[in-house]
Amino acid sequence: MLKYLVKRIGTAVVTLFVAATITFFVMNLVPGGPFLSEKAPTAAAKAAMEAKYGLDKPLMVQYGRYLSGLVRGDFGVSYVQAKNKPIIDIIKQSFPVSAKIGSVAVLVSVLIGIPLGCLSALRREKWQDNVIRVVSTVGIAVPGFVVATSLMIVFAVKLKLLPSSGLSTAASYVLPVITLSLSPCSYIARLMRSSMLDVIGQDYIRTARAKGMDEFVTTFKHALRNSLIPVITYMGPMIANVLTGGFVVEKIFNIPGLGRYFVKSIESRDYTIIMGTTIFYAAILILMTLICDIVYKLVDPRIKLDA
Amino acid sequence: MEENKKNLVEVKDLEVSFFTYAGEVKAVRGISYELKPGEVMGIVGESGSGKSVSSYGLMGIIPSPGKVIGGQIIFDGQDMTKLPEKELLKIRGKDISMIFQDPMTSLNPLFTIGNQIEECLKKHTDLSKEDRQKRMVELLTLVGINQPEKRLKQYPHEFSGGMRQRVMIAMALSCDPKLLIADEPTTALDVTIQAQILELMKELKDKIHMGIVFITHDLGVVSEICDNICVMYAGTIVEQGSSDQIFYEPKHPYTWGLLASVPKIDSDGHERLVPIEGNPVDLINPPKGCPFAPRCRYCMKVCIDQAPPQCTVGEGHTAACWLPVKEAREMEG
Ligand SMILES: Nc1ncnc2c1ncn2[C@@H]1O[C@H](COP(=O)(O)OP(=O)(O)OP(=O)(O)O)[C@@H](O)[C@H]1O
Ligand code: SF4
Ligand SMILES: [Mg+2]
Repeated sequence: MLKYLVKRIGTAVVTLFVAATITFFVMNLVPGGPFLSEKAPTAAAKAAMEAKYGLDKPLMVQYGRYLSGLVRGDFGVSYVQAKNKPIIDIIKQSFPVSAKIGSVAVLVSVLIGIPLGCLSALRREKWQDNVIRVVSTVGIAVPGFVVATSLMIVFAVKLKLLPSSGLSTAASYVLPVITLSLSPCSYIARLMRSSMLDVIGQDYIRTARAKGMDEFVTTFKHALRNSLIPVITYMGPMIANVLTGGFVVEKIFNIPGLGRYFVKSIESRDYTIIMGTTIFYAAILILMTLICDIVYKLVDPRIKLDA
Repeated sequence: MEENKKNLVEVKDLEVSFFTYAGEVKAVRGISYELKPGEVMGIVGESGSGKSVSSYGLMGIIPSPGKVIGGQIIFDGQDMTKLPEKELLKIRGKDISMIFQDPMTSLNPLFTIGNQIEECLKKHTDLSKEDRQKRMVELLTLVGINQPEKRLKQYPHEFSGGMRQRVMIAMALSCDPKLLIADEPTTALDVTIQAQILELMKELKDKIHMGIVFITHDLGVVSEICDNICVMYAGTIVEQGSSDQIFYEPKHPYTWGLLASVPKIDSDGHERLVPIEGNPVDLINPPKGCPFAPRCRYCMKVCIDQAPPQCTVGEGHTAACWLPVKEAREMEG
């Protein structure tokens, strides 16, 4: 187990390094820059700014500096959005917001998606299954911004039931959480349905029946745990994605989370924020995948972690 | 005196169909047999002849879209086809238990062997936790698994195929069943392991007094263990009799074919029956005459037009064939 963890952390470091490198160079290839706003600063002012942040140095020097900063946990400072504020502080401030709303969304997706998937499989081809299948297909297919704006128009603007932005009250969580969880929830339901159907046809389910186990034990002991395995695999990237903030959702509902910062910083070419959040996102993704793999091992005794 | 013993199982004109999109698959078309306590009944026939489906009927676990559409299955005085599910749950795994063809997939990979055997004991007995543990150790020892305490804590993937089949047998025996259904328990195993499992079954048969329905497609396997044999073809029993009668005085051309076909060993080490020439019957539209007619060397005109009668060809020995009927042969000339 320990050997496995060390190995995984080693791989994680390499992955992060590659991610940092790619983002760094891609960022520099893209035309435009942080100090090219509409107001078009004078050449002298621009040069002074660039000198201040070391952007006048050769690319390799900038890259070296950036990496050595990263090793020390220093992501640099924001150029545009929050002048000179360290990126790490921005993450510290905005990630909890994303994480809070994200974890509610993850919880909702799992608590609704899994039972719906089971129901769908157990009532195969009946009306329940048909309804769930149609709804979940729509849930996966409709893009987040459509869901978000439709919800906003109906519940916030027309019915005036729920607030349309911010996170001040519990009610203000409702719309963003629905938007964030709709697609993962639908996906989990579909995944669960197909894996449950697969498991129900397995020989060991027949064995359980032949032992006199009732429908409940057969379904919830023998079938459920086996059919959760594909769902667990999907959960890693899904959680990372939702936790770091649906970019679109935070932007539309004006939630001060990491996602909103990310979108804004792309618009304003705030390089350091883009890079910082990308690397942070990569780190979360890696962490979640690792946790999933460990959970996987706990659920399935056939998995050997030190393989 | 054997005659006076009450039957443990009476299957009467059992019919099972699968209602598929393609149509009604008549998998079992009116079979009847009887089994006395402590006897072993062999059910032999090629793949698709309805051996498994008819035995699932005994347990009431026919998978959907299958249904018993006719006949009776009297087990221990009760008609299994009429019992409510709640009553069936009490019988399954306790009075009737079953072992399956593929031990590699018949155990749940996520639970320990102990957990899976204990589940059965918990459901059907009042044993305390310690007594259950004792019973499980006893069971594993009975089926020849060493270090039972340690093995109980292991998962199925830590066992070989033969060992898993032993576990399945232990599980099936856990609540002292009156009837054990063994659905091709050796087919998926290597030849040497097959012999070991068969040897174990024979030992257990002598040790434990229970009825056994032993399903196989290999007549060679059943010869040593069975008292009586049913030969199935296309969802019907074409010949039925004692083991000796089937082996030494077979009367049905299909049985002749089975006896003549020598098992050969194929590349993966499994025994395979050399199949009798011709294709199996279409079970959606079964022929009105003898189902074996297209493949039968002795086929007469009457065979194609009319279903053959159940002819008594010896004491307790029947064959569904026109050949023993004198008039039929004479008509043919
Ligand atoms: N789930 C199902 N749906 C439709 N038809 C089925 C189903 N299960 C079995 N059948 C039909 O029932 C017939 C009998 O199947 P069964 O499994 O009893 O054969 P078998 O004699 O046990 O063969 P094998 O030696 O391959 O195990 C088959 O021809 C098959 O077409
Ligand atoms: S009834 Fe006729 S076709 Fe059928 S097995 Fe007998 S001889 Fe052959
Ligand atoms: Mg079978």
